[in-house]
Amino acid sequence: MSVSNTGGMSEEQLVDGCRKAEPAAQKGLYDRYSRKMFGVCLRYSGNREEAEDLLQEAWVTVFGKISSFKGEGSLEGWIRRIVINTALMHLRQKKIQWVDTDNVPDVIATEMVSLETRDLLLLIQELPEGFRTVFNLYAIEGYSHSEIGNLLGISENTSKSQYSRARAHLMNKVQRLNNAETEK
Amino acid sequence: MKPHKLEDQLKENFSNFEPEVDPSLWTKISSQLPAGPAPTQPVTEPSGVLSSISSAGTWIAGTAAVIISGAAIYLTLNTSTGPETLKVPDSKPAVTKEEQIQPAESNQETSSPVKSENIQVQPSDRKTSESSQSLTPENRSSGSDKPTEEEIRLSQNSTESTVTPSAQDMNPVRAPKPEIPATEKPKVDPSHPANESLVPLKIITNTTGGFAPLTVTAMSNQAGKNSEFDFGDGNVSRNESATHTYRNAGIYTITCSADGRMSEQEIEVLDALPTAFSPNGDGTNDVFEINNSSIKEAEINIYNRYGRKVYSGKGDHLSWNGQYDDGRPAETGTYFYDIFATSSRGGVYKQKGTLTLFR
Repeated sequence: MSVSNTGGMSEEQLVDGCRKAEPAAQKGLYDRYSRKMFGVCLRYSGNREEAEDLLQEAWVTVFGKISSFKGEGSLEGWIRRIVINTALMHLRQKKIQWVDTDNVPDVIATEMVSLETRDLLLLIQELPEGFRTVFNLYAIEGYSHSEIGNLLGISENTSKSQYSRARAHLMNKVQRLNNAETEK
Repeated sequence: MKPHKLEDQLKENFSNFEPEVDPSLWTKISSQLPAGPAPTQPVTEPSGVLSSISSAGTWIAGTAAVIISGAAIYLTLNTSTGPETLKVPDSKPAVTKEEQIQPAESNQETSSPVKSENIQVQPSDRKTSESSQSLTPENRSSGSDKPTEEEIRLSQNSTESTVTPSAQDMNPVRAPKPEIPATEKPKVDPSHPANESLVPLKIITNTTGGFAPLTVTAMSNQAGKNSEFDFGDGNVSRNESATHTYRNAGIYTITCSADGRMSEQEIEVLDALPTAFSPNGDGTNDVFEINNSSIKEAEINIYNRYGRKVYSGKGDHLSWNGQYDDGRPAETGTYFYDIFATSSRGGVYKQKGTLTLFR
């Protein structure tokens, strides 16, 4: 049974209300998770506008599909899957070319990073779309390469190589940023 | 800030990343949502203690809606016919009264099906209204914060002379009510006479069992009577809606007694599920395990906080070693599980819970 209770409504009551399309429940659910989900959208998007479009589309889907939420896992996880699926759908529509270039950046001297979320987000947003998506799915959401392969319609190996390139790309940027900071 | 490996730094940064959202976005989203069902829904939604009991909730909500809408029609009829209704003596059968009202009512909505429905809601038979009350016990628990329902019930129970003031009070609130489609009323309302008088005492619980700690809410089908609930472990309650939490596994019998009659319900409580484990190889609590002689078979799915399924198992002995299926160790943190268990006595229980993984 749900324990969390903000605005006087339990999670179950919110879901129940959303199933009946009650505006108050819809707003309640949105208020509870929109910020967290916006964080996810920002990671999968190149910029704020794109993230807002994504968030908007994902929430419309959430309310449209709320009746199919069977309580498997957490509600937050369910909403998050919709957000991520929406992001992946956009990616598929763009027909990304998964180029296996040899353009792998230099090996990074240090593996350790120390960055504010804001800076890290900017670096992630600067990544090419394919890199960014694989990187998010593997490093943050915890999907395996075979799952990512299935989600994106690429092979497990492509997912692996995309990830290592994305990671190297990011580390390069992190290092440049850190150097810039120390030079200040 | 302490330096981290990239992935750890990412997880730390983004696990609680909740940036502000442009408030105008909600306007855009809500404008794309289809309009909801009749606005009467939220009004009749039970919000009391029992609202979390989903199985009982559905019919309770339905019954409440019918009673309220029935009462609304009744009140409307009374107000529209005015003082004439008051002249009808209390002892007179309800039918007579309805027939007097009927010709005066030109509204098409109150055609014959509604008329017969109103006969059943008539308060002149105290037993009817009492039993319909007992059908909606959640009204009682939530009555204090819902004055409108309370007023309706009062007017249902009261004599004719008290109906008019209360009906006048209700009038502004209930004004939109007659728009409720008349079709759904005759369908459900005839169930009331079936429940009236001489109903055997019956205990109603929100569950028949589950994992400890198990909170059980019990009530009787006759809320007006002074019922006593004995939870079978030394705990007794005289509340209309009695709640008790079983912390130890066992088979308990809840006995409800009222007016010398009794009704029982058996509750099976299974051993509590683990709430945490530490897969660090130190030999203690290294796996999340369900190995319980009272469980014949269980099916479990464990999800991480991102909603990804990390473990799924079925059998009489389940265990998760804290690794993803590709062998990566799962992160420290909270996991969610659903378990569907069949006990050795044949009870089938579903439970959701959280699990903390630490290393």
